[in-house]
Amino acid sequence: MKILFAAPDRDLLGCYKELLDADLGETVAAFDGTQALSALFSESFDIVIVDRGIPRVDYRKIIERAHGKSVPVIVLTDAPVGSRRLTEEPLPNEWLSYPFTPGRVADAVRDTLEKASSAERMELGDVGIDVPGFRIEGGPRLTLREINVLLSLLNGGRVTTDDGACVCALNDKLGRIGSRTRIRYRAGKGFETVTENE
Amino acid sequence: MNKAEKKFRLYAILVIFVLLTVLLAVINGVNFTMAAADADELTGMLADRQGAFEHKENAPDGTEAPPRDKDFRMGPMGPASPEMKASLRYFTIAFSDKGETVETVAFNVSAVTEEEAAEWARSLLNQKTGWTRGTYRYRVYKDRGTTFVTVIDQGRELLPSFRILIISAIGEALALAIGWFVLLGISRRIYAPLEEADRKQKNFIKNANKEFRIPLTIIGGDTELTERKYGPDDRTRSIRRQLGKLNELLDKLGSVGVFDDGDMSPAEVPISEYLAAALDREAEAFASRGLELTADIAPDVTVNADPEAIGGVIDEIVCNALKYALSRVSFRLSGENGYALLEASNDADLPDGSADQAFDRFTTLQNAKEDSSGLGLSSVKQTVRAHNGRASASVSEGIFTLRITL
Repeated sequence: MKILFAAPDRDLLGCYKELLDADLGETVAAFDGTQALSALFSESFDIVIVDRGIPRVDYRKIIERAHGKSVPVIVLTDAPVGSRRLTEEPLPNEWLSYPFTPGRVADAVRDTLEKASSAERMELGDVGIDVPGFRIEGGPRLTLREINVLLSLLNGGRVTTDDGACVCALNDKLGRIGSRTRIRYRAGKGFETVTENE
Repeated sequence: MNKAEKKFRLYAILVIFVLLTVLLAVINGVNFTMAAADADELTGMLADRQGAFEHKENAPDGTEAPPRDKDFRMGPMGPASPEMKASLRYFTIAFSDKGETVETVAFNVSAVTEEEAAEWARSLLNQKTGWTRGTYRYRVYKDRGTTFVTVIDQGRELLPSFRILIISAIGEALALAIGWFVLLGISRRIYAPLEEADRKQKNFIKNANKEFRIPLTIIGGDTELTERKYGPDDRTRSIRRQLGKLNELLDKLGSVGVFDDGDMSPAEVPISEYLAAALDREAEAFASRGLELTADIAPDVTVNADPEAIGGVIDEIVCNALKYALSRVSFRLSGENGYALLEASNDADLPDGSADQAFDRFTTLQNAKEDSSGLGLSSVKQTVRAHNGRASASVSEGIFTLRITL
């Protein structure tokens, strides 16, 4: 595995380069957006991890460039990830809020890559979910957390109020493509998918 | 801060209004009272003279006319002025016991005819003294079986008093208007630094929240690296514990800051289920602390709100009760007219009264635990207000109650 890790803090870069080298594989560090784009252009990566506040180049450009080469992107943010963040474009494959642990990063990387390389497709009511593509078929992109929420709903798992932001974002995205499927809360059952009548 | 400024202006102008009104009312009251006293002195003097300054040779009953001029003295002002008897407009009508007009003792007015004056006086026979038809003062008195009614015109004397009254009213209105604009300027100057301080506090909290996150991540990462190289020890374990506490504090700071910006994504939130889920989750914790837990949750109560925010509010309220209750906790959720009302009560060692200060940032009540940040309930109020709701807290007979309306 080869990882591009781009963050403006040298201590963070140094610390996490070492951790990710040990846990996942070769990690290339970039201190700013220019370095990150240059690395993306000249090398192949399995995944990009970029800080939202990376200087010199907007992180969204890095997302676009990486997605253009079919490379998933995890964006690091210093703010809580609400439903608004989950619906912005271009959408990364996952958001990670500071502070996080090395284990959390490693899990997110592995889970993202596993889904990106899977051939899985989900049926969600009247829409299909393209798991490796991280999107609703014919519709907007999804993050890793949203896909995990959907998988949990479809496999009988329980989605809690901690995933409220994801649920809101999913309903918004389903609404945008005209789907009649929604995620609703049922007494005693938690969240579940329902396909509403016309 | 805007609300506080408006309140200050309102109360200040109210105080000015009350003070001015009382002062001017006293001044005008005294003025009119003195005018009435002067008029009574005049009617008294006329009464002493059987109703007229100038008499025919004998009084109506044939006795000699009373002496004259004794009460008048030199001087420019007041009813005792010698010029008064010439300038006073008045009439006096004498009546028999049966109310029949005996005589017009004096008639020195232009506003009415003698007949009209007699009727006017007859209408006053059952009174004693007072104002009649606005600016006329009257007195009814008896002398040797005859009832006299004297009516004097005080219009000219009252004119300055009415002018003063009108000028007072206009003056008060002007003073209030000018006062309002002055207060506008003063309150802005007073509150501008407070608003600035409040804004800086909010920015500090927001920035501190962001500025701390990356260093905490780095500390956690370096601790991990150290443990991998040298193995975990007490120091690294202590670092992890402290990191946990700091992360918790940051989460609370985060919720305090986020909703200042209105960064919300509203949706229909099933608050009944959120509360039930939170209580289910903490049921074991309540039981392990030996707390008696009761819940009365109306089903299907929903609010249009940010789901994460409301989840946070409920979690915080449940955790607060778990932390501070002595022996019992109760939760009540009801929905009325589109509003959700949530009440969380627990017994607590606190004095009776309002406990709204519990919602102030960095403020804890007397029963606060050592590790309390003073941010939990502050974030609750911030979130509730961002959703146009209300939050209040009170203590009554040893029961602390939080009330949230959404």
